[in-house]
Amino acid sequence: MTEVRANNLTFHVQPLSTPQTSPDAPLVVFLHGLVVDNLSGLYLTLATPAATTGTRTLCYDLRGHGRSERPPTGYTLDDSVTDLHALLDALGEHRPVRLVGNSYGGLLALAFAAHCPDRVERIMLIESLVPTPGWGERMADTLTDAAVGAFDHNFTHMSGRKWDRTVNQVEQLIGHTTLVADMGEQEPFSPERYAMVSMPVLAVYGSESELLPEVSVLQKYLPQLELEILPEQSHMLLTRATGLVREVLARWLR
Amino acid sequence: MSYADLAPAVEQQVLATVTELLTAVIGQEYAQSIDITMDTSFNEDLELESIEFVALSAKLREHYGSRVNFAAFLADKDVAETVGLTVGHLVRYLADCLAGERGAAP
Repeated sequence: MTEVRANNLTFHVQPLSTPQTSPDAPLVVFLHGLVVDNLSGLYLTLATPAATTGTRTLCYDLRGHGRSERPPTGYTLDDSVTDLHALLDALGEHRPVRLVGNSYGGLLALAFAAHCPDRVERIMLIESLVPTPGWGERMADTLTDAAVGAFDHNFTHMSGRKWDRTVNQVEQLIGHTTLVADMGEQEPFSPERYAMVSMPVLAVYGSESELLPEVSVLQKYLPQLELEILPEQSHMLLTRATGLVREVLARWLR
Repeated sequence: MSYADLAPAVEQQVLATVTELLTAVIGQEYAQSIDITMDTSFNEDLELESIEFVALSAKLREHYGSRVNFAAFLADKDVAETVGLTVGHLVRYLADCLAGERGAAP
């Protein structure tokens, strides 16, 4: 099953487990980043090793990304939360899940946990955005830069066909949806919203990440936060230090 | 009959299946412009996107079911290594799984 209807949209989902995995095993849901991302990054880096440890895993493309439907509107963080909620309902997943979020996906994990803490057992953040004042505007600026071709050099190794498709996804999202406008209006998390996030949270950041200075905010509002800083790594932690992140994930899954 | 005798036949069958499913993922027109062999590289020759590789692995999982453990095949490779594989790497892994199953059958 790779397509699921939820919240009136068709989502591309990729469940992965091994033939020996029990249907009662806990579910780990992987949440990817915005615009130049889709489920494949997390699937090929973290879902495959997680599946071999006997857990069930689920990757899905956020609305507008990868092979999920791209409606013209509905790109706020709350919309992402509603989508995830509807998706878990559609899949019949009512027991608490584990969330792993990369970049914007980390923020989505926190927002979802604040929305329904009884449905989340634990969270692993990888280079998560931090919902400080202005986070949405900063995101919108980054996205606009991406649209005019100021891509992270990380993507320049792509060959012609892949490059064209990546550019196409960015152009479609930036040019034909309300994503940038929606991001520009995002509010910071209130202390009350943070307080709803009561489950264990592990956060992994690169020592050179531009997000690292903001992590103190997470530490302030999430006293249970465990922080793991990987030396000499940037925001591109997942692709540049896949092996190290896998080691952290393996410990976190135990 | 030993595994050594079976291997080429199994590999040919698997290659045919992989080619068929790959064609479904990347489109008939594009697939026809490339001769897909055991030496064809997903990245260099096919310019396969990561998400297309994931789609292909999902189709293969549906086709072969629990006889093939995809997670194990990919768990120790990073993204670059995965998309850098050749069709032959994938075919041989699948053929090994299937031949192993045959070997286990009474």
